[in-house]
Amino acid sequence: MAGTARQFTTSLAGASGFALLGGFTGILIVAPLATILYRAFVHVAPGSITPTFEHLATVLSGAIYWLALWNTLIVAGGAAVVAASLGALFAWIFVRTDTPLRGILERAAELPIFIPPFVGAVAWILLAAPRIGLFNRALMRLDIGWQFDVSTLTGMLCVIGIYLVPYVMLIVAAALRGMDPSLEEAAQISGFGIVAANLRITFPLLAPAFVSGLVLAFTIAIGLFGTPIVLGWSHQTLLLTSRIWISAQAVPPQYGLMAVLCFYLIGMASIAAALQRRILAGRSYVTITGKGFRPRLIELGAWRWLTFAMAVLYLLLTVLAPILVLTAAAMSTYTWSGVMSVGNLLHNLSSEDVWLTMRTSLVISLLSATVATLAGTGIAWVVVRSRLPLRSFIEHLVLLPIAVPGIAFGVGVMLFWVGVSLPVYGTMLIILFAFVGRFTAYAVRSISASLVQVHPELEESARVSGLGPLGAFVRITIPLVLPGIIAGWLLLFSFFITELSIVILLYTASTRTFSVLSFEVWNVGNFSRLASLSLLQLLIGLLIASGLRLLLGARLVQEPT
Amino acid sequence: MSIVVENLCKSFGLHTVLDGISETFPGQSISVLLGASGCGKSTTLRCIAGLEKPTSGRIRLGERVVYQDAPFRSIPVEKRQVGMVFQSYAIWPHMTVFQNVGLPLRAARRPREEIVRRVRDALAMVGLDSFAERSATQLSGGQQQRVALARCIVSEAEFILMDEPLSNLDAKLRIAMRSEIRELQRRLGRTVLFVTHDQEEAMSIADTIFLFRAGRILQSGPPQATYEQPATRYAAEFLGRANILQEFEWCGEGRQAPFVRLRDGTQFPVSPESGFSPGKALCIRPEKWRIADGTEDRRGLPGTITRVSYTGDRCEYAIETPAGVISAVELTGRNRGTGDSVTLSVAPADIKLVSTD
Repeated sequence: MAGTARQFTTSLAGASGFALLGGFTGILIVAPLATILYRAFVHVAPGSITPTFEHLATVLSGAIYWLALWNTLIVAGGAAVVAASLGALFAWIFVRTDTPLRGILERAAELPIFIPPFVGAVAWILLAAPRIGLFNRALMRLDIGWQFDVSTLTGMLCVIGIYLVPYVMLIVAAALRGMDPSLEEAAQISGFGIVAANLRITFPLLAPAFVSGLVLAFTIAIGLFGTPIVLGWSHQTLLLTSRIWISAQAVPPQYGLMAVLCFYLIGMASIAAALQRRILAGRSYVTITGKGFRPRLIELGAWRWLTFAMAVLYLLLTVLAPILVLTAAAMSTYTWSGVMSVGNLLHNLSSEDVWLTMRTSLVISLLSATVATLAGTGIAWVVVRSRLPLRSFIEHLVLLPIAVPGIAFGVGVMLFWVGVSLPVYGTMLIILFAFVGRFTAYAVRSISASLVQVHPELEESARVSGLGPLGAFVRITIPLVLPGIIAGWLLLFSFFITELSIVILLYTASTRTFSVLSFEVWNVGNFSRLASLSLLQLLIGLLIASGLRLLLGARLVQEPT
Repeated sequence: MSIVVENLCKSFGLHTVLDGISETFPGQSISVLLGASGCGKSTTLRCIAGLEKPTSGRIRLGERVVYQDAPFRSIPVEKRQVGMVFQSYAIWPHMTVFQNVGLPLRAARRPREEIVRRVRDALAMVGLDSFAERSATQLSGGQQQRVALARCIVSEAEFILMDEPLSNLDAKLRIAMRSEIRELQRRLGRTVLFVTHDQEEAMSIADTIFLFRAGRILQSGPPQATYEQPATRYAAEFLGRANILQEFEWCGEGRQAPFVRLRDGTQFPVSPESGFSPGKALCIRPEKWRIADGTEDRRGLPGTITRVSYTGDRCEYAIETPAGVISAVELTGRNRGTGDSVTLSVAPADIKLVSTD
């Protein structure tokens, strides 16, 4: 009897777990994505629902949308190429050469990940916008008749590209560290010099990591909202994400158009992922064996000062110059008036809406990061350890949003909750739902990566010692993967605290976040105040980066897999 | 064409790995560099290959000086014309078997037909003729090992360096590959340097063993001589098992038939050439003991068997004697058990004197 009761309890627990998991995935992930499809091809009017191709036709026949698509392709593609070439180069410099201070430089070069894209764009407007940019003011004084222009396509792709460098660098550096040095040595023994050995052996073996980095950079770039709009607005160089936002501002909002434009974004991300699979098919040789190798250092001689200078220049352009220019602008009472005071900076930060929006941001970020981490831990455990039916199907669904740019996911969440008669739309809850739905995938991925490292026998021996399945998980597995979980939480928190592309569609007057406030200040054109707010965001980012450093020791960011 | 190193030193920072090695590794034969991990054997090999830069010293491959500290001369690895088999095999995963084996010839810019012919020959020699177009990642460990072998013989490099090439194979395959490598060396007559930490592997494959300890070469010689006549206690114990007896009295001065007296009074005659000096210990290999039933024979060392371990072809005994616990080995078939009384004796020539440091 007791046995049956116990079986019943177990199956009840299993069933409720299954229901919870199903509900989570269904409402937070599948529903928003399905709604995009539904809204793109169905005309919803009070009392009637009719299939329609009207929105698709509008987009296909509108020159502005073709232009936005073209701009997106050029900017994201160019940025990905910039990021991948520099990222691979820096990975090679830091891992394989005797460049001075390479350890410190490598860790510093990961920092741009923690600088919110919007902030980087604001800083670069101050540095290199026509006439007002500091670099250009210097050039004008030199009177050579040429200026930087960050609002052209080239300017945009360069600025976006340099901030995506660390993502590629992390992937390629991991591959370089995982590569057996004797593969290259064997080529030298065979009679090739160090350069030929690199060309024939090392670079082909790095190709998969390089392509993964390229695709990752491209996928991030097409989904950026704040950066391209800040950089391109003055010349009206608009991308798909800018068009989605403009359609959302229309009265009434052009939901159908937005849905179709989201399809463009999702389509581009999917095509990039498919191309990556195609290119890497049959080249599945893994250089990452999990085994750590001591990479062989190439002695560059005097050239090592060149590689050193390149790394320093990179940090100067992405981190130091932005900090300096934002500080200067924040303290200036009037754009480059030359009058600077700390009081001005403090005045800019002391208004009431700064603290209100900061509080909202903190509440949303804390809650969302916690919920996403908890959900991610549970799902990762189900995927890696349980025997639940359909677990790999659920995993696929949960990981789906990774290929969906944030703004598109935001559109999906908005359109879904607009049509549901529950009080979610317009509250803080909708932002939380969007964050959790979009970002749980990252928690699942990083936590399952750590879970796989924990040998099942550790959990099994706890079971043999008398702990139940939950007890073994909580007492043994969780402590072992805890650093990974906390690091994942911090990383999500750092995304959320400055997130703009999702929030911009979902906020209302009562749920304005700090990033929305900064965006509005940009819209108004108050550059000194904008710089102050940006500086604050940047400091928060760097603070989180140092928190992560303390937590994880040497590795700042877990390798994206 | 021998390999000669003179006063070879290598340190990583403050840590000295090679402490002035001077040695000639004879040509057209297999020299095994044997030693525990960290003893400098791999570093020596990598210095000879050119993968590691010595701190000082001189290296000659045949008549060619490939490294010397003063006047400085260092031929880069790709110009040294050596073949090498790595512990991980270092098979390039993005190439086929044919491309892997053919790369040294392509580096030497040989014509296409010659490459095809020589790669086929090399693959045939290691028994992989039909695998040429296979992707390197589809091979088993043993097959990868053969590809690595083919790659190092294809270029007709005179000097072949092997860095623990068999340590990633399973036990049976490892033993089979030993004789294959020996066979291959006999057929091609190249000079082979073979690094291993496995003494059994070393003895079965070597023409000459070079035993390393802490950055120096402790002893060298043919396997049998090295095993039978270890110079030190460390060498004796590294190359196999040994009973080391330190408490004894040397009764050899001025006698025609010298003997030793153990601490219980048992006397064993020893060979007059033993070469006693103070501080040396007696070394007797377990298989050298003659074991007699009972303790009636007063001329031997009496004892009681306290442990028997049976390994199929042999029996190993721990025997409690007044001179200490002795380990002895004999072929199976005698049905001895724990508690049996035995008497141990040993031929004079099988008692060796070794220094204890």
